[in-house]
Amino acid sequence: VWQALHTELEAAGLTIVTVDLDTDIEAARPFHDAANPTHPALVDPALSLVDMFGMTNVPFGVWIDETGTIVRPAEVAFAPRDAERVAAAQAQAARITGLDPERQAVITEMLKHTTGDASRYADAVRDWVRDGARSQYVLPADEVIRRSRPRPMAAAAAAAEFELGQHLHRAGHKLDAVPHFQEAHRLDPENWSYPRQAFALVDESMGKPYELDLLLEVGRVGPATFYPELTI
Amino acid sequence: MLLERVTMSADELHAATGWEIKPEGACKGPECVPLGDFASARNAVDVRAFAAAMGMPLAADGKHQLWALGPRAGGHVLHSTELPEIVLDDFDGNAFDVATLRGRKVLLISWASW
Repeated sequence: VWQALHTELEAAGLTIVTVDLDTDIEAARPFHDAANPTHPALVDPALSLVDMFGMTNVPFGVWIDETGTIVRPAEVAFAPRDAERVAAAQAQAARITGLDPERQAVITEMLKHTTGDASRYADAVRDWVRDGARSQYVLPADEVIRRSRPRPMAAAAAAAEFELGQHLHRAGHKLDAVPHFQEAHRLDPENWSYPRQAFALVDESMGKPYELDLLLEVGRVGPATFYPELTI
Repeated sequence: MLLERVTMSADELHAATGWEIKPEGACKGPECVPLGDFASARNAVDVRAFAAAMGMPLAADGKHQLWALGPRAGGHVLHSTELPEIVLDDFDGNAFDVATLRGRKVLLISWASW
C-alpha cells in the first residue's frame, strides 16, 4: 500500500521504511510477499517501536529528516487504500456476521476519522518532500516532543508487563504470558497494540484465555482512542 | 529489558541498562540520577531499589523467576528529536540500520497482521 507513495516520491528524496509489529513475523509474511516492496521492509517482533514512539495501534507514521531529526512524532498514518479497505471490511463484516447494533456503533465511531485522514496524510507527506523544512507540516522540536505520547508510570509498567508476556509466549509458556498481557492492557488501556497483538497470539492449544470482546472493550475504553484523531 | 535476577554487579547493570553507577549516582551521558546508599555495594546492586530510584517499573513473574525493567516514567516517550538507534531485520533476516538513510527524508510506517 505504501509502495505507490514510495515510488512516487523516491526520486524527490523520500524513502519509506515499513516496520511490521508482529511477534510472529510469519503471520505478516503473506502480506509482505503480496506487497513485494522495493523500500526497506523491516520486522520488529519485540514491538520495540510501540514503546519507543508511543505507537498505540497500527498504522502509525514518524517523519525523520535528512539529519536524522524527528520532525513529526508517531501519529495515525493511513495510506489512501487502507481507508478504502477498512471501510470495505467494515461493510463486509456487518453483512456477514450480522453485527449487533452495539458493536456496529463502536466500529462506526472508531473509524470516524480514518477515511478523511487517508488523503490528508499522504498530501502532507508530499508537501514535506517538496518544501522540506519550510513545509507547514514540519513541527518545531518542542512541539514534536510535546505531541509524543506522555509516559506516566502506568504506561511504563504496561511496557514492562508486555515484554514479560512476549518473552513467556515465545518461550512456549503461552498461558503464563496471558496474565502479563492482561495487566499491560489494564495499566495502559488506550494502547491497543497490546491487546490486539495478545489476542492474535491465541491458538487452539490455549483454549479461550481472554474473556474480553475487543470491540466491546474499545467501546468501553473509548472508540476515539483506537485511531486517535490526526492533527495535521 | 528482561532480567533473570534482581541483584547484579554495577558492571552488569551498566551493560544491561546503559546506566553507569558512579559516586554521584546512575549516569548516562551528561545525566546523573542520585541513588541511595544501596548503590554503594558495587558487587550486589539491588535492581528493585535501582528501579525505584530511577522511576522505572519492574514487572515480575514469580513462577519463571523473570523480571522486566521498563522505561523511565515521566515526561513523554520522546525526550529529544534525535532519532534513537533503530537496527531491525528485514523479512530475510538481514539487519538494516535506519541511520544509513541519513541524507534522505524517511517516512517510518508501522503495520501488523493483527
